[in-house]
Amino acid sequence: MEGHHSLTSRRRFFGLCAAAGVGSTIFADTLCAMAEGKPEKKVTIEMIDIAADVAGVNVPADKKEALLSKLNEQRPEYDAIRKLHLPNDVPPAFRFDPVTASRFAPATESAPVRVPVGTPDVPAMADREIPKDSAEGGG
Amino acid sequence: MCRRWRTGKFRKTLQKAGVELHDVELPDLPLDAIALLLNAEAAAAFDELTLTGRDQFLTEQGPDDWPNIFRAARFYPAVEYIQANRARTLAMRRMAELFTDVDIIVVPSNADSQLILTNLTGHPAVIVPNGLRGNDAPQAPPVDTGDDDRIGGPGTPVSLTFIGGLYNDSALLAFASAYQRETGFHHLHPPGF
Repeated sequence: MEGHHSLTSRRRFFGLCAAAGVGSTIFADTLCAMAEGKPEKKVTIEMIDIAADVAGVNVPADKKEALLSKLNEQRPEYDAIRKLHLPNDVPPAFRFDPVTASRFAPATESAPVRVPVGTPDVPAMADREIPKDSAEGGG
Repeated sequence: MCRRWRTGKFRKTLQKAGVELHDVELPDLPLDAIALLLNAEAAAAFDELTLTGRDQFLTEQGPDDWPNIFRAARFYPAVEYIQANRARTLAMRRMAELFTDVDIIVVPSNADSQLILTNLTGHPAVIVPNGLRGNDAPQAPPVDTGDDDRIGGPGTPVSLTFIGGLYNDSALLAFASAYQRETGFHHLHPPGF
């Protein structure tokens, strides 16, 4: 069943690639191999060309060999981290702070929140005349 | 003190100065793998340099030089970046645990990925002169590939690294200064210099 599922996923993946306009099987093959955890598959110049197009960057022809070497060196490193099997309680080592540097967060001093019991136009329930039926618990 | 490094005159020097030595083990984590996140952050900082192609004017263009590292970072998956940052948290936690027991960690310079580790965890480190290699030291190779920093050959300087706790820079500097005064290695010069 697992093999069948894997094959289905692979077909679905290629289908999605085609739908997204990524027709080349080289790129899809690369991503699929990575998704299936096969770091032994080496990156090639063709893969770099296609991935660079997808990422929107230009890699000069004379720089591709050096890049190829680096990417093939980098790939096994992903596995080293995956093998740590990071537990859910380990957060990334960065913090999001919605307050920008030019602004200050409002004081967060703890104080009771006071909600008016009623407004001048609408008297509070305690001040209203309570219908006799209700007061007697009718109904 | 790093457990794998139990010999050396520095021990006697430190003990003589009243320092109590304990063996410790630096975190056993895939630091090189985690450090890829630093490359991605550096690439983001130099994004314009890469995208405009002006990086080609930098002198060094080998596989391990910055222009290539910046390019390679464009293909670093976002999920791996997040996971590396989570692994970084583990490194930070383990270093915090170490510093509950010790004030200073003594390590050989550039050994046990100490430099990457402190880059990731933010712990201050000081490198001090630790004498000159003896005449019986191995000769330096004809070409320095950059892969090994311990290849100076006879008469060349060596160093020692002290790591301090977070925000405890002043104690670390005081310790390093005391070591330097005690040894006087900073007054030595390699022959010809």
